[in-house]
Amino acid sequence: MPALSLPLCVLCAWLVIVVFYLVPKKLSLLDLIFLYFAVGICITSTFTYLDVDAHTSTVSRSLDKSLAVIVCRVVTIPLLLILTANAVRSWTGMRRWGTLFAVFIMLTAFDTLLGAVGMITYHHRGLFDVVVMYAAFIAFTNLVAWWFSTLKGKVVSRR
Amino acid sequence: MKVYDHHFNANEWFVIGALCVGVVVVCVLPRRFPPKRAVIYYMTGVFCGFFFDHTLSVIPVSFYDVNDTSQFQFIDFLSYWMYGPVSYLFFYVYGHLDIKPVFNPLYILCWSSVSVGVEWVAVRVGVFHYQNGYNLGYSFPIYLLVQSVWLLIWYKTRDALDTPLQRGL
Repeated sequence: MPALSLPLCVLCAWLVIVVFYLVPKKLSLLDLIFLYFAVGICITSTFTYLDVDAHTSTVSRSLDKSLAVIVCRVVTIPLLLILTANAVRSWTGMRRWGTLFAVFIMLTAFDTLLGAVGMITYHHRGLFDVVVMYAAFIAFTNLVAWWFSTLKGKVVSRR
Repeated sequence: MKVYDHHFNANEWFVIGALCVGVVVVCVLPRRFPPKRAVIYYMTGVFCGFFFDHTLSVIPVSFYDVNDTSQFQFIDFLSYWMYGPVSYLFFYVYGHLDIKPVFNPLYILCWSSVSVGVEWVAVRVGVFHYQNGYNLGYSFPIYLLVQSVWLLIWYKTRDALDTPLQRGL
């Protein structure tokens, strides 16, 4: 049986990129770059802590599965989180909350799927922990997006 | 868990000192960039530090450990923020000197050489512990690649407007 983890995760990541590209965005290029950096830092710190320190989410050390997890953490999850910030900035009412809920369900289901196929091994970690973690990620993303939007100012010196 | 050190010594002081000096330099320099771009240029270095130290150095093979143990400690988290002034200065000097594109490879080569030198010092004081065959020589092409990406970021953000993108990137 050929290793399918990496191609399947890359396919998922590419589909997220397609959706991300098509969705109308109120965020500017600067907002997107900053959010990607901030969310990337948050995600890598959290997952590394859970793997290396807390030992609650251990990533498989096989080459195929570990690269697949890297793709998920570098592409799939950050872009989905940025979509929530875009939804909060762009829309109101049902469209905003519907998007937030849909992304939240997608992230939670995706995380559970990674555990079911053996890419990540969960110890002492239940659905509640996953729900709280992704809710915190979404809250963090929108908080930093709001903070970045408040930055205004002009260049003082061009020397 | 691997333990390299039990004391608060050279590697911790190097991280704290480098971070303090870097932040002071960033604050003291005359402002060249609007706040959003300045934050992005600072975060570029921090993100690269996190990315390489938490992906390639952890899974599938841990090529190096950071600071006192193989676990993720607060001083490790702090050490990534000292990359921020490096990337900020990279963009600042590039903009200040108004480097022509034809000199980009030379500029990247200079910065990569400096980065390798700083990493050598960091290894000597115990910030990095190489393993599984990794050595300083492998960092050089990585710096060349990463700082080439930094220049791409410069060209993408230099004239970027703070307006909604609507569809597409």
